[in-house]
Amino acid sequence: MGVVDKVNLPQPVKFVFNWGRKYSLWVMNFGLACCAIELIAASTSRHDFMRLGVIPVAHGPRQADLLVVAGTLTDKMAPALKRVWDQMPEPKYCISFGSCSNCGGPFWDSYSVTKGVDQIVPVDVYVPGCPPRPEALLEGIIRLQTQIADESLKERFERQRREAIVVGGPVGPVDLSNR
Amino acid sequence: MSAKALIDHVKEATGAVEREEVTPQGQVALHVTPANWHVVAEHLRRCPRCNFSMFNWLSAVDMEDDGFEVIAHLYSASSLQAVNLKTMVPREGGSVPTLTGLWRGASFHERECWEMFGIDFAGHPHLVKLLLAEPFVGNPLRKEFVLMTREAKEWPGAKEPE
Amino acid sequence: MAGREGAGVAVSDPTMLPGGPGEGIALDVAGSSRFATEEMILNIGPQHPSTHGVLRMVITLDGELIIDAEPVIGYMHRGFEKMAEVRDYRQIIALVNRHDWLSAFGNELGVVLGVEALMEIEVPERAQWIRTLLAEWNRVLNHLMFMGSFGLELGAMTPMFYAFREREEIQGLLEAATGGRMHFTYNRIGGLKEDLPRGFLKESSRLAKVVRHRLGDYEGLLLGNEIFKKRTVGIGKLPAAVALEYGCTGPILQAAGVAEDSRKTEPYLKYSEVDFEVPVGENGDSFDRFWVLYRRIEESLKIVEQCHDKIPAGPIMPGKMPKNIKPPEGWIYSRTENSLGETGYYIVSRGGKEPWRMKMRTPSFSNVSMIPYLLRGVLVPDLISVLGSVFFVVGDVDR
Repeated sequence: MGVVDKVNLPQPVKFVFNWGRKYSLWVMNFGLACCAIELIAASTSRHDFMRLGVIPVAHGPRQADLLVVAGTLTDKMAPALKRVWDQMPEPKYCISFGSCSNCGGPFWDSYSVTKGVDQIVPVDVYVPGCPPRPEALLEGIIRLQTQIADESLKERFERQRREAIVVGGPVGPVDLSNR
Repeated sequence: MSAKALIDHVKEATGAVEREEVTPQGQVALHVTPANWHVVAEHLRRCPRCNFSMFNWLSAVDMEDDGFEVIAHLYSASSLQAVNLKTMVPREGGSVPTLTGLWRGASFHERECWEMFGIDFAGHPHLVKLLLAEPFVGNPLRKEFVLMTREAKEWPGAKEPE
Repeated sequence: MAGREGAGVAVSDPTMLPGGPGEGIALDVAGSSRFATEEMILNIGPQHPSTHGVLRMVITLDGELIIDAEPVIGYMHRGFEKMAEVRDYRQIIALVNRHDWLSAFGNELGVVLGVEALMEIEVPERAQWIRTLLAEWNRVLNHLMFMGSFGLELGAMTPMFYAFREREEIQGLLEAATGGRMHFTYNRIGGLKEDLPRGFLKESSRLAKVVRHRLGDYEGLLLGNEIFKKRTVGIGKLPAAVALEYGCTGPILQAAGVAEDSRKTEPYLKYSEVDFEVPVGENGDSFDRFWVLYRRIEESLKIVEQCHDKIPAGPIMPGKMPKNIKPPEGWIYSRTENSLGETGYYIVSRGGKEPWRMKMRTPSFSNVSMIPYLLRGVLVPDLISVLGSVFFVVGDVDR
């Protein structure tokens, strides 16, 4: 990205940048189970998260910057989640919606459930509930927007670069020292 | 046909029913040996009086030392009657002939039974894992397969009055 | 297998071919002698906006024509049957809400009816009528979801919003009684958790009138729509005999022409005392399946309105139930006509407070096994229409 991710931006510029980013989150619906229904309910007329700037574009992970994992993640599905997450361009955010994706939820003792989506992807906001009300998702999005408003892009990119090298990224350790 | 009439008819027609069972709620079970599994199932399917054209489900119950009880639940939409066809197989090396030749719907159910219990279905065209992930090892519904999370951490609500 | 030899591609599961193992299909594979076409294997899913959840399809294509389709399931397998063996019956009611997550009340009913039959508990009249009422509201909720999502897959966005408008109001009604918008956990062994709040029946009858009035919107937007008809009439025909072989139940079977509905053939709760019809389709194609769904909503509203007048006063539990429910030794298969088909629970009890085995017979499992049969010889755009018309919920498929 050039200058923006290497320099601590001065406050007025940072405010404008973050304000633009937080009010135009494009969401990748990763609706898996029952929470997906509440996610869809949050996107329809009564609750409507579109007024917060979150547009449920489903064109694919490459054009999204928010991933909402709603529902139980099983061990069979986990590689697919990792793949979708890796396909998203940075800076990207993740909301874990529902208790199954927070920590395994009611299936805490199952032999095939991943107990918590944060084992696979880094989560920014956890929305508890089984299933959470659509209003809870709206609250989660607002919390995320507050986080984004205070964020420094330099730290964000540094964190994601560190994670990419440690975790191995999509195809192995990537040398980002020249970027 | 009533439950008794059905049982008598199948016993007479196939001669392969080992034992019959009618529960207090009126549900019928026919016990057969694994060798006669296909014979009796074929009769239930083809005989115009029985006409069990609907394959409802197939599964097994872990009976510990006695082995596994394989159950096929069949339904007749014309006579509105249901029957449970049961057989017993040993825990290791148990094998039952496939029913996919009679009802195509048996395919998925037998695959699931195979991966959950380890019972072989002889003649099944595509016996691979259905629900479990590829790297999964073990047969989850066997009683000796314990849920590790429960072993590692006791459920806090377990202290209940008996 | 005639027509397949030249292709040189092995079929994944020959039992899935029309005609059964050993028989083949005469499929005209397009392609002229000068323009050789190759088959392509396309993977759809598991994450894909147009499948209802995490269903993966591996289809073998020749151009746009589907030659073979294999559903790969198990991406939502949570191990319900194993977990049921370590939970007591009260916890199972809460657990079992979650496999067919659109009709949670109906799921609970199956377990509760099974245990009550095993223990020979007499459920009070009021509880039975309220259960019937709420089960039918749940059916309306479920079918409305598919009204919306099927339209969405074919490109119609408006029915989705209309469906959710109705769903929000009905969910508000059920929340007033049960406390949950989706997972109700309202049934208890022997009756219900608590009585209905005051004003519930009045609100319920008002809502029934409103929903019935608004159903006309769906008829105009979808059933009478030329584009919708062109995309669904004659597509995905399912003959009755094949449907029975695969174990399909519910709207799919009724659309294929078989009037098999547990509420009529083996009545439970108060279905024998209410007046309703079972809609039966003629052709068994996608349009018929959708039409059956629409008619089922109308019939459910009829039942709801009849329940309003007939609910008697009285208790909702038969006295004090023990904290630990221990059914006697034995087994039972209890089935109910849930929204998507026949949901059954085969419960084996050995006298403990947990079941020895609980096998869940879910309608979507059998319905999905039938998809390869439907998709043979279908074009890719019709794949969406056919897949959407086989109403299934992935939690129900994988448990």
